[in-house]
Amino acid sequence: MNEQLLISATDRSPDIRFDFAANELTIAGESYPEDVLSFYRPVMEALETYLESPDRTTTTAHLKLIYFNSSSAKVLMNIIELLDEAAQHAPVSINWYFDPEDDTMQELGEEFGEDVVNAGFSLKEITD
Amino acid sequence: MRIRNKLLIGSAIPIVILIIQVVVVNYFIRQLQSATTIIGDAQTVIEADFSASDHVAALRAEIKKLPSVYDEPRDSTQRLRTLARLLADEIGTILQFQSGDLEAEGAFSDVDNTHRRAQDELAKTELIAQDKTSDLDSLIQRAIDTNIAFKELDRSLATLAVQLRVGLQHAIDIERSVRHRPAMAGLILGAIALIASVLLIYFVVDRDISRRLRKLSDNMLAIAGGELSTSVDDLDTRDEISAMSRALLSFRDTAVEVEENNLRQIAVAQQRLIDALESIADGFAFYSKDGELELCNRQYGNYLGLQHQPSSGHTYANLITDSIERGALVTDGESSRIVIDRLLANHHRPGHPLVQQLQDGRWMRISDRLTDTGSRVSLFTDVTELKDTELQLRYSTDQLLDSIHYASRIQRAVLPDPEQLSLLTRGNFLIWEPRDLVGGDFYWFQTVPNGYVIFLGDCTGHGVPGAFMTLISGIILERLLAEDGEFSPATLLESLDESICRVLATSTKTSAINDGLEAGVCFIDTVNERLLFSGGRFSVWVSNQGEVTEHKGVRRTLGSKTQVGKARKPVPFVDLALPLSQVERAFMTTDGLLDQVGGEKRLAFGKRRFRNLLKQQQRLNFADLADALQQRFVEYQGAEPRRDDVCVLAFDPRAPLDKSGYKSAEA
Repeated sequence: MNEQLLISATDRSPDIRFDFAANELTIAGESYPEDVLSFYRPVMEALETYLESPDRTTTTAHLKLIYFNSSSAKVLMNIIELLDEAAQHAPVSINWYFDPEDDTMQELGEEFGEDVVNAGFSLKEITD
Repeated sequence: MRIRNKLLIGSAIPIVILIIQVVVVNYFIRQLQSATTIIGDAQTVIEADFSASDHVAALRAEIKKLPSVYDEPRDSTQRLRTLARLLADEIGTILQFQSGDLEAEGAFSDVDNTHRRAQDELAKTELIAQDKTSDLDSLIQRAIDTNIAFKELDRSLATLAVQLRVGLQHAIDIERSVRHRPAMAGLILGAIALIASVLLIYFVVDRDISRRLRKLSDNMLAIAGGELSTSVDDLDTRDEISAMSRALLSFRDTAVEVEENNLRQIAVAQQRLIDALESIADGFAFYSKDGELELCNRQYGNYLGLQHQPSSGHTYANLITDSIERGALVTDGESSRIVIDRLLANHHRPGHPLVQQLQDGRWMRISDRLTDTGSRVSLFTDVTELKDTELQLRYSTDQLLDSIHYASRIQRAVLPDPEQLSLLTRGNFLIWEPRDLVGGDFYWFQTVPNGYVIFLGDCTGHGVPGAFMTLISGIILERLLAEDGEFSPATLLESLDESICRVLATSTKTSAINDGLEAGVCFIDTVNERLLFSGGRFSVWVSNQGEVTEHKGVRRTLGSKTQVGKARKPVPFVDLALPLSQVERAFMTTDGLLDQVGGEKRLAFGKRRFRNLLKQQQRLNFADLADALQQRFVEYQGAEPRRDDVCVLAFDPRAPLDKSGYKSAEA
């Protein structure tokens, strides 16, 4: 397994950095790729493998998005669900970032946060 | 022969001539000296001869007187003796030269003999004269004999004198003839020596050696200057110049070998370059800084429609103009001048490659490049396939676009006529902007028992897939709306969800279809004077008395079993009831508007902005409000691409003032 999974941002897809050694997953930018499932498949697979690894300690996920379409929303839900389930075994914290002016992302973050039971979920305002 | 030896010979020959000169001059001087000696000797002898003759004459006179002094002979004999002695001296002088160079051998011995006899006679006569006993006769006889003897002597002396005179004359002649010879010989031989020296130096030393040295030097300069074809001769002489020539020849041969080696390597490199250039499919040409063709491959000539590879020296302008005039490059309706100018401009100031068609229909991409040294590379690449693909792609795209345009017409035809809404409501606007001609946002309005329904849906996805979803949803919706019974928006959404799930069978999360539907339904219950709203991830905004309030639906997507939530148990749809008296205007929008990224900070348009605009602009009529919203939205979007389809629907739920319209719609 590589130490990192890196996917650079495009106009329609986010920047994804999954640093397994540092136990950090960052998804930032916009997400409306033509084929959402294909785009996220490597991320989902890496995440499942990572979460199953026994020597995993505290995991942190950073979600800094400004736009995602409905299909991407479902994938993000799945990611958050996986993280929430894994939090039963080792601590997981999820940070949802939004601009104070961005009520859309704030609201979506609040909605996602409602479903999180085991993991820590923090809404973080981005301050310049 | 070595030059030293030549110089030795060159200097020895004049010296030898000078030695000969000395010998010859010496010989002539000796000859002259000999003649002079003879002359001197002859004169001496002749003088002595004359004296001797005088003495003989005196003696003869004395002898003749002898008988007369018979009595007293003493004085006479005395004188005779004296004379005889003088004579003997002269004769002695004469005879000294007997064995000399004078040629009168016989005359000398004759003088000697006659002198001896005369002396003998004289001696006998003296004896007689002094002998007192002798008679006169005897004495006379003696005197006669002696006189005869001296007479003989005198004759022989005369003979000698004559002979000597002849010899003297001869000697004088010799002296005269020989006198100038030493000087002449000296001069002549000196001149010969001088001339010989000059000629030797000129012909042997100077003319030959300096000619050869000059030749050698010229050859050296020529070879040093790179004229390796210079022939080196003068190799056979066994001297230093030939040795140098041989060294030069060896140097030249080495240089020739090195040069040939270099030329071979250059030729190999050049051949490789040519092979490389010939092996590529592109036409390649290299133009010098002065714009003249230096190198090109065969393909280049082919593309220009030439039978032969163009020779170097041509300019790009020549070749292009020629090609266009012969029709090898197609002008495609443009004037030749314009095409030529365009190609030349791009050659001189290379920009983007040009695409040019050939007579045979092939397409060329003509790229020009400037090298660091100011030369130009011209490249013709066959892009026929690319061009064909491009044309096919354009054709396909056109076809596809035609289809989509047509699909768009179908979608619009399927969707209800917005005019119907005007028959149902007191005022309204509808903004429907699919991102890609067709889209996943759709609206529906239909009368039902006790009122009418306004439906706004957003199928996940957009474009053609979204449009398919809208058609499916629309058909189901129409069927569901046709059912009798008391109408409930929440019930409609439950049924719709179930129907779509069944149709698409999206029951597992592994399904390839990740689609679903978000929707909001407003039922205007004209009997009970209320508005019922139910939404799945959808809200209705209601403006009333200056306030705009958002009423959210539940968090549930239709047509998709993979719901949010820990239990994965679908949240039931619920109806929200609002008295129509509290609803001045109602708004529904898809997230295409709310989530559109824009503004300086590149953030979503957002509900706050939407609500504020509705609130601020509530005095505007529907048409103007629609304009204001669109204007605000377009401004906010700025240069950002549209993210999704946009659909916004607004209405005043009260009955239209013209009731006839409502009735006709109801009918």
